[in-house]
Amino acid sequence: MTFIINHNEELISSYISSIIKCNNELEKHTTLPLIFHKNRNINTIPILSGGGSGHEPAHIGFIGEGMLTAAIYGQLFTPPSNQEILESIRFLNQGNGVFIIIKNFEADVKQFSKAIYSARKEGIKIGYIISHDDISIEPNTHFQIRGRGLAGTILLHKIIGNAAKNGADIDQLTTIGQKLAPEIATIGFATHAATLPQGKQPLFDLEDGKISYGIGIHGEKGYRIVPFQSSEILANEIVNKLRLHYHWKSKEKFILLVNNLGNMTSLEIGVFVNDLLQFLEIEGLDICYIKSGTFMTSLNMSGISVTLCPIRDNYWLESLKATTTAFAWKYPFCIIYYL
Amino acid sequence: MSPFTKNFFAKIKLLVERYNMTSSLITKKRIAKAFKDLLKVDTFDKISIVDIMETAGIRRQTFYNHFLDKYELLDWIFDNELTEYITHNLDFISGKNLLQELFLYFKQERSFYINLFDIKSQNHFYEHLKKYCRLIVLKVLEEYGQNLTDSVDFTNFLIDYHSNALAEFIKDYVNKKRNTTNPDYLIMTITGINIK
Repeated sequence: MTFIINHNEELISSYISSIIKCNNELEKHTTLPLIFHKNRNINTIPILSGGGSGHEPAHIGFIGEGMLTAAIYGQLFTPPSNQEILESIRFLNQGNGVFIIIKNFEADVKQFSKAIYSARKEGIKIGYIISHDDISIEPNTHFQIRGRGLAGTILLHKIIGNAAKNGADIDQLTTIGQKLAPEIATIGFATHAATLPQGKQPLFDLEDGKISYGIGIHGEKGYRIVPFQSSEILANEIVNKLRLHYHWKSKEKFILLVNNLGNMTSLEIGVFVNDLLQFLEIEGLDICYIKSGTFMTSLNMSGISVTLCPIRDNYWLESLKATTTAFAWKYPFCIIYYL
Repeated sequence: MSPFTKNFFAKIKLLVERYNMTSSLITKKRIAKAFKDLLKVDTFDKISIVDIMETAGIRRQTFYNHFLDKYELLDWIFDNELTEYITHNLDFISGKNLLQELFLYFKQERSFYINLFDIKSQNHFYEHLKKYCRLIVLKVLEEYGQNLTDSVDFTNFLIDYHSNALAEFIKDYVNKKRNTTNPDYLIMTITGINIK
């Protein structure tokens, strides 16, 4: 596989540089691996998210009015250090505290927890929520649900970001996050595993013409490998696993987010979404909001993840429909949007 | 070509076409849903193919691309739903969760199955159900049966015995002769081990 690159050590910095050049709303912190919203309202609670790189446009693409105030990034699949997170918290804090959205990965939680502990010790008010929308299972753990943070995290960015924009304080944001995060469920499939830049082997074995169900975004294997038959068979399996999770009732209202995990063509996603919507209709679900595009990738993995969230609060729907300037939410099929 | 041969080849062609249908699952599920919806308000005998396809919003002829008649549709619903609820979850949830899901499924679909048992003989579906119960019993033994004997004969006897018992139990549950039970009791009975 050919990966467009100059030098490995410049991979992330080149990407950041291009994003900053193309988006005049965004700025890079002079010393920290932190991108922030230049025109942020300093009277609202800043929302910070982040983690390892390799999931672009997450999380930098979601910085903007009504979503994230800033995103902190580490190297490929490696979170930033707790010291970098702590310094970012200090930078963002305007006196009313900082709210943080963390993806549930052991290394991420460890670094963010240490930073939150230190920030609180300094007297900075911190609220946080950990996204754990992955409903696939960890092989060889007696069917234990993996519970890691996947594309459903973006719904947290949007709904919490909108609440912050409307003046919610840390406690209110925490309440929203705690109510919302457990309701979000994501599961996907891959037709090809991701390969690290200049890596020779994919992160897991998947022969041509095979599908792996329930993959993660850091090279985690799925729960089953089957020969590809058709898009509708894929959509049916995904819907069945989501039904198993929710035990939904007919006419229940849901939010749907379909995510390109990296290398899927728009044409393939369109075919899949067409099938997916028909199965959800057969199930009798009322899909009130659909978002499809590239939100959280795993390098060049070819695959799609599907996120559902039952609408327990109409505010969630209002928040998703609210405007934002974050380019990856506004234009989810563009890699970079020129403002 | 004799009329018999012509008819024979026409039937073969139809079967091949049906087999080759690449986009059939959504249509089949739409037809199945329409049929199940109609069964909630009408008896099997009174439901025509026209009724089913009108409810599904699909032209009548399409029915025959997928099913020979209402009886084949019934068989497909039964097999497809148990495959999706049991076979496709064998590698995704534990034996205990699978038993819970199974009883939940039969509770939700009870009225359909009571109808179904009236339409075709209970034995017809009971024989099918035993196949799926066997999969569950095998899974439970693999997951929890640490102290299984080495005797192949005895293991086979155990699998047959518990598969038949579970199928019988489910049949009684559907017919409301029995309440659901704690999956732990079933697992303890199958494996002889208290998993709590």
